[in-house]
Amino acid sequence: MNKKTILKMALLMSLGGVVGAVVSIGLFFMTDGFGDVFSNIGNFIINVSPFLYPTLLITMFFPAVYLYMKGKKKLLESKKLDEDEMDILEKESGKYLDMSIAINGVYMLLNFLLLGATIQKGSDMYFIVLALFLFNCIISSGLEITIVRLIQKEDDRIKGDPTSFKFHKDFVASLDEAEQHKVYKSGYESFQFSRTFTFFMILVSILFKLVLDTGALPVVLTCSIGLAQVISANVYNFRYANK
Amino acid sequence: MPLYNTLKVQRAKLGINQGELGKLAGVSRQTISSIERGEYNPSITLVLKLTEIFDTSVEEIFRYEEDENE
Repeated sequence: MNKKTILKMALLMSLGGVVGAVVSIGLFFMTDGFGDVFSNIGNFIINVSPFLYPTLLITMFFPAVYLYMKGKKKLLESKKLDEDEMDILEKESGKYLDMSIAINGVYMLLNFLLLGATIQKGSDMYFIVLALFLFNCIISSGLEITIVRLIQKEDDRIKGDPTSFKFHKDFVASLDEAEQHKVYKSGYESFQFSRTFTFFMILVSILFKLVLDTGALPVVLTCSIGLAQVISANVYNFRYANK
Repeated sequence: MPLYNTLKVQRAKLGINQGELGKLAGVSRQTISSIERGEYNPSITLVLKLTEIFDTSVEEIFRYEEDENE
C-alpha cells in the first residue's frame, strides 16, 4: 500500500466520520419531529397504495418494454448488415436490452418494497394490494422471459429454460469463454460493490436504531445479508481453490 | 496484452464470415469479432481450435509483441 492510497483511505474515513456525526447530531435533535413525519408518510403510502402500483407500471414497466422493443428492432436490423456495422448495431441493441432488464429488475424490487410498505393485516385494501402486486410480478417476469427467449432465438447456442430454477447454471454453461469471462468479471465487481454497500447499510441501520428507535431487526437483517455474502464468497473460493 | 492476429486474412482465405467461423470454433460471432479487433485474448484451447480450422500454425495467426508503453 503506497502513501497515496493510505492518505486517500484516511481522507475517506474522516469524511465518513464527519458525515456520520453531522447526520447523528441532526437526527438526535429532530427525532420527535421525524417520528411524526415517518408515520405520516407511512399512512399516506398505505392510503394511496392502489394508485402507486399503476404509477410504477407506467413509470418503470412501460419504459422497460419500450427499451426491449427498441433493442429487438436493432438486433433484427443488425442481421442484414455487414460485419463492422453489425458490431455497432449489436452493441446498441445489447445496451437497450441490458437497460430493459435493469429497469425491469428495479421495477420488480420496487414492487416488493411497495408491498412491504403498504400491506397491512385487516386493511380494506389487503386483497387489492396483493392482486396489484401479483399482477406487476407476473408481467415483470413475463418481460424477463421474453427478453431471454429473444436472445435464444437469435443465438441458438444459448441454452436454459428461463422458467426453470436451473436457468442461470444452464445459461452460463452455454456461453463461450469470452462471454463467460464477462459474466464472471461483472459478477465479481458487483459482489465487491454489494459487500461495501451492505457494510454501509449495517452502519445506517445501527444509526437508525440509536437515533430513531427502529429496533434491532434492521441491524439483524442487514448483518444477515453481509453474513450470507461473506460465507458464500468463502465457500465458493474454497471450492474453486481445491478443484 | 498486445496480441496481434491475422484472423481476418485467414478467414478471407477460407471464404467464411465471422458467424461461420464462430460456429466452426464453437464460439459466438461477437467473440470472433472481439479477437479480430484485439479486444479479447483467446484461451489456448480456442487458439488451437482456430489453427485446426485454418490448417496452419499458431504463429501464422497470432503474434505477440511487447508494448513499448508498458
